[in-house]
Amino acid sequence: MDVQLKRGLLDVCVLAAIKNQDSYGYQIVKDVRPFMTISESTLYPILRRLEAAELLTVYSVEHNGRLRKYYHITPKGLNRLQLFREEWQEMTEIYRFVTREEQTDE
Amino acid sequence: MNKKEFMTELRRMTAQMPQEEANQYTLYYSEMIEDAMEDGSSEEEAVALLGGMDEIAAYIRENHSQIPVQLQNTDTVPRKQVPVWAIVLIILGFPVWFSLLCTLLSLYVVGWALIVSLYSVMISLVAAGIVMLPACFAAANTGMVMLLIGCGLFMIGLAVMMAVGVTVLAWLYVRFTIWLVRKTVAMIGGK
Repeated sequence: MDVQLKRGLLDVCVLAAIKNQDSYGYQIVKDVRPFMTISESTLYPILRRLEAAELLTVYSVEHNGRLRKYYHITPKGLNRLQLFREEWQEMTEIYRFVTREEQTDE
Repeated sequence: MNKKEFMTELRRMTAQMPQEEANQYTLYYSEMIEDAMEDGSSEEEAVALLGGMDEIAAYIRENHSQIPVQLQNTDTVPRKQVPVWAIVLIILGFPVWFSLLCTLLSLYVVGWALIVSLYSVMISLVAAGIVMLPACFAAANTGMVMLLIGCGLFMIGLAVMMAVGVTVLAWLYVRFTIWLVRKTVAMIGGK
């Protein structure tokens, strides 16, 4: 898959993982892994990027005598997910256009 | 590799980064290992899940330069760090670089002084030439009149020729000054 496209999709997947409930790094990797290749090391820059863009916020919670960082989606982040839905609509139309020729040939 | 070995290696890799950014990495990976262990992995397995050290190093190299250092919920602008040795060198080298700077500055001022003096020579030549022309009315004989007019015109002519040369020189010096200022600003700002 194209690197840029993959990067954009990973951003959206991470946001989707925290959409309904705040989550932490390890859990996010576990939730996204069935759909896209993601590792702890690839997640780190994504989280930092999303935080810098104010699509999510970070807070620490004490857990078993240590701190765990939780990620919370912002209205801007939810907006990004909504935008993805609209973009996907366009994508399916483009897909139809791209595959149209094959169908008429058959 | 166990957690301790992993963390030591990670700290070594992030040693070049600003403290805050390096800490973020340490916290992040430490949390990941702890969470994997809570999820049922052994310590060794948890570390292995993170991928090889080479892989992590590659990610860090690729990413850490572009990510702004951000503290939680605060917008801190990453500051440019001047290494300690550079500060020490600047302080210890003060007698050397300061006198060098003074010398260069005086050389620069000398340049302007030269231009100013050339202009004054020009002005005095013109003044002397102009004064010589009416002086010929008071001259005793024709020879003297011719001499006065000749000298006066010669001086004014010389001044006009000089004016062209010196103006070009002054213009070049202004250009040089602009270039110098730009270079200095770029050097200080670009560091």
